[in-house]
Amino acid sequence: MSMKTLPLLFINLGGEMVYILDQRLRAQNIPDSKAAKVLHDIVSTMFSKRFMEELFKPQTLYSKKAMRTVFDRLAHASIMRLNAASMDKLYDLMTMAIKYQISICYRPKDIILSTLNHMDAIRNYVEEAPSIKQQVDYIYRMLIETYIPMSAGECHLMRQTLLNFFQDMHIRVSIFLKDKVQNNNGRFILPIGGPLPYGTEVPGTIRLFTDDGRTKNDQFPAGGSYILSKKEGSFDMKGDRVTKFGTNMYSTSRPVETTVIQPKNTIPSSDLDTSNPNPLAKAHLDLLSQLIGTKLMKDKSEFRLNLFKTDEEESKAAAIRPIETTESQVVKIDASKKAKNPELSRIMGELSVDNDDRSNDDGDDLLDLMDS
Amino acid sequence: MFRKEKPISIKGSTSSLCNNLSVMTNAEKGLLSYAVVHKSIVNIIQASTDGSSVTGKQLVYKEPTTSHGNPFVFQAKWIELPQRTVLVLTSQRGIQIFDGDGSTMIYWHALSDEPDRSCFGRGITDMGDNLICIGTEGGHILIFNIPPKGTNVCLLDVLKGSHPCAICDLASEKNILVSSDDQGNIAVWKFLGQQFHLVHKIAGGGAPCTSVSIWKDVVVGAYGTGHIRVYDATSGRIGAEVTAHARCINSLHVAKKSGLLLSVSDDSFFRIWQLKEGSLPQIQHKYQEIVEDLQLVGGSFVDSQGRALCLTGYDNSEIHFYVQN
Repeated sequence: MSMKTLPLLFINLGGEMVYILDQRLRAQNIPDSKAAKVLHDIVSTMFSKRFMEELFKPQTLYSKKAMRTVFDRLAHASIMRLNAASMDKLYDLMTMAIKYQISICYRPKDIILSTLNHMDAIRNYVEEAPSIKQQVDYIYRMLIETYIPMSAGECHLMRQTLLNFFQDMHIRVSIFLKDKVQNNNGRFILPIGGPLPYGTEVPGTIRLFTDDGRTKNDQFPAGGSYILSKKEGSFDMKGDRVTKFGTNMYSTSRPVETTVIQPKNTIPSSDLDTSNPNPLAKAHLDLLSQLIGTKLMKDKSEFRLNLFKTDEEESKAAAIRPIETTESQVVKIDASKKAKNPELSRIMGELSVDNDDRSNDDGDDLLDLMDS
Repeated sequence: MFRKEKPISIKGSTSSLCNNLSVMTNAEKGLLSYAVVHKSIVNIIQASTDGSSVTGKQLVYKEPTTSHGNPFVFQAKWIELPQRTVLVLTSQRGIQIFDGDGSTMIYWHALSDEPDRSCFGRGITDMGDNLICIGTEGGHILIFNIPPKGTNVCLLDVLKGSHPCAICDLASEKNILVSSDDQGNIAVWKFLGQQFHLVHKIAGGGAPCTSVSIWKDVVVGAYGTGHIRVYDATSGRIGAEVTAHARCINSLHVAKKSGLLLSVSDDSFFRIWQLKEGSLPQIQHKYQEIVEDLQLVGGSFVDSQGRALCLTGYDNSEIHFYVQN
């Protein structure tokens, strides 16, 4: 399928993760400074230049398992810890949100707009950290360079690629159930009528051309009431994206909640590389763990975030979903094999020098945090 | 006009691809075969016409040298040549041709060997007694000769230069070949015994022409913007334009004997149209229905009259049936 889809998938999932974490950090009354540190650390890891440059190289998507492992790493890039049940829930929420946006989006190019919505929100989170903001701005430029010249056909293939990544995932999300956009079987409700994709006309007209150059119009029932879209969203660094997809759907009145159901009869889903792990995905994981590795800190400052209402609920969920828990630990990060890819090991080398300096700074941060 | 019939279940869900359903009718044996793509697997279902027996099997698109798992299949289509029926699969990396029941691979053609460069095949049709035409990501059309027996398939010709971008779909009738691409361009070719000659180029408007059909010199194109356009193959002139669907149209199929046209879309609707031949071909709306909460990706009439049709939808593991009252 499309070889240019990985950055979009990663940024959208990452953006959704930031929304959920932000909401849970508030709900759990984590002090502002700590919460900001968590989000800053995650965004700066996510958007580290070398890692993103690797993602932007043409390649197939990761398997679901490898993608999940990347986000396991990323969620733990700071002083926040999630247990397996909370991590499962976080990832379920992220994936279903993005599946929804990609399924419902009006036309394939809107996926780029919803990505820019995520980028806009992320940029707001790091407004006070100029160095991270600079990282984010760099990714904007990469996105614009890569995706704006894309033809409608390429965008179409990209959407299909993303849809096929999310194929067979049907987790029920309470926010979607409440909004009546998802059915009890985990499928999304597809609206009949409403806004049309930019460039699409209201269905129902047949224009018949005649030899003398005139046109005769016939009508047929459209089947729903459709509204023409007159304005296209902005693909610039800043601007009105028009689409709501990719914006933050959580708020204090709409908390993060999932109802996780075990599918009754699971259809065995084939995954791209269940038997052959994608070597690139592995190399990226190695790079990511290297990036995060030096940031890992002492236990004292760490805190645990719970994606459930209460701790009991969390432990209950942990007991129900042992399979996922073990699964999330399956992928081994093996930095010893980094020599395989000289380019990556060179990057890692550079990064570790950077990080040595930074870990000292982090030490200071830690003290500050402990005071709070 | 149509009533819903019992669906057939598939072993895996349907992937989001254009034209993701191929039907082959074997009237002698009273058998219908369906092929639906699930990621790198093709689900093949064989059913008796009375529906009493249904058997399924899976064909995995494997590559001899793969370090990245099996590639996704882009299209699976049965091609019925006068002397032989084959199942053609295209993927990110190449083309595989199987015998009619999908049990033996008779030919394999590599399109890309580099892991970071894709060159997919998309658009499959037949021509004459023994040719198969397959479109590529590079905008080429590969012409293969299929022997009546055996594995001696060979690449005869490559049609270049008419499509600046990836081919979306191919269709054919008698000696006319129609190709469409990612930017909505349509090319009409004539096969004159030895070679293909470009007859017309119909410029697109930027949106992909995801599916094409041809019936009695009427060329029909379905577009990403939900439009259907009807052209005359001889003159290349447009006869009609329909604002047919609210989302991308994913598949078209024409019933060869009646000129009924089926269109299916992401907007959950399937619509039936009547084509009318002529120097300015026309189109008329006949019927429509919603398949609730399903983004339709495949649709095909089961018979050449268009008395029954079947549909597939993204993320769904059923083939849905509708039969004329």
